[in-house]
Amino acid sequence: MEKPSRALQTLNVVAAILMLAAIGLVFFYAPEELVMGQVQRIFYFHVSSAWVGFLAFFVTVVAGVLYLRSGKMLWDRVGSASVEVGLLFSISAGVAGAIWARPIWNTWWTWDPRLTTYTIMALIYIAYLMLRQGIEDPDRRARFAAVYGIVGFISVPITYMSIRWWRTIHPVVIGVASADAKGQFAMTSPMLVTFLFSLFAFTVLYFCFLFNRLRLSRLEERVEQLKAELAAA
Amino acid sequence: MPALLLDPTPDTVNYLILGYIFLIGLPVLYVLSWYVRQRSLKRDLETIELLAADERKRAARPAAASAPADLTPKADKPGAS
Repeated sequence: MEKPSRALQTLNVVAAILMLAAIGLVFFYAPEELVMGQVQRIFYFHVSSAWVGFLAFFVTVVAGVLYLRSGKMLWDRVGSASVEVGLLFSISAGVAGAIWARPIWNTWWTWDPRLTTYTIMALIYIAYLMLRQGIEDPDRRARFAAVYGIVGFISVPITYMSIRWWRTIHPVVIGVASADAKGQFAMTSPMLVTFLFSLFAFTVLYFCFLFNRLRLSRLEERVEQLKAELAAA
Repeated sequence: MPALLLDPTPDTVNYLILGYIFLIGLPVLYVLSWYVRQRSLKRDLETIELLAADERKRAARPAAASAPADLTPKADKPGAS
């Protein structure tokens, strides 16, 4: 496998620096929230991870459309890599959310609209990866994955809007909550700065992960091609 | 004093640590998984290249094997001398 390009190496370094800065802001700059205590600091990386999940699944839609239009396998690799990265961050956000919920809601899990739609969304994308594993023919697999990636994205806006449409205990961070919503908290200016910086750092980290995963995909594709050639010989 | 009427801030630092173990640990594990997968793919690639080389040798052997058979001196054949 060839060495990563200079641009990718730079992106890796920038992402690492931004993440270290974000950790610094979370632990040393943002103040402690008075009602919830230290656990509220989970918020910064929890929301940022969930945001990366949404972004990654949107990139899969774009890649799916581009694949269906052009038939280039590159877009299939982008879609697949993006789902893998998005799922990682979605699961990470979900687990961290459950840990945050334990001392605040007094439970690890509840069938709240946000938690339920979020779980369904994650399951949809786990099924995406399973579907890919189940199809041998690369062209057929790419076509199915592209369509599935586009259709499966419906779960993302539903998950995002769930806390605005239905009565829920999950707080709304961006925009206006429903009148019935509970669990709101107000952000002070250092909290907002830390939050926005974390969102930015995670966005850069997403692209860093995506491009690194794509490098691995190229190697996977080469091995798959050689295996097919050997089998045909 | 009103401050005394407020509930004290709860000690939730253990949950914070546990949360960040997952938030940072999962992506770190994912990056490590790339190295494992990359090593495994490189091994696969080496094996495939070996198999392909073997296949090429095997494809070349029947031709090479048939050529000396035609050139075998009659003296070597039993009963020829």
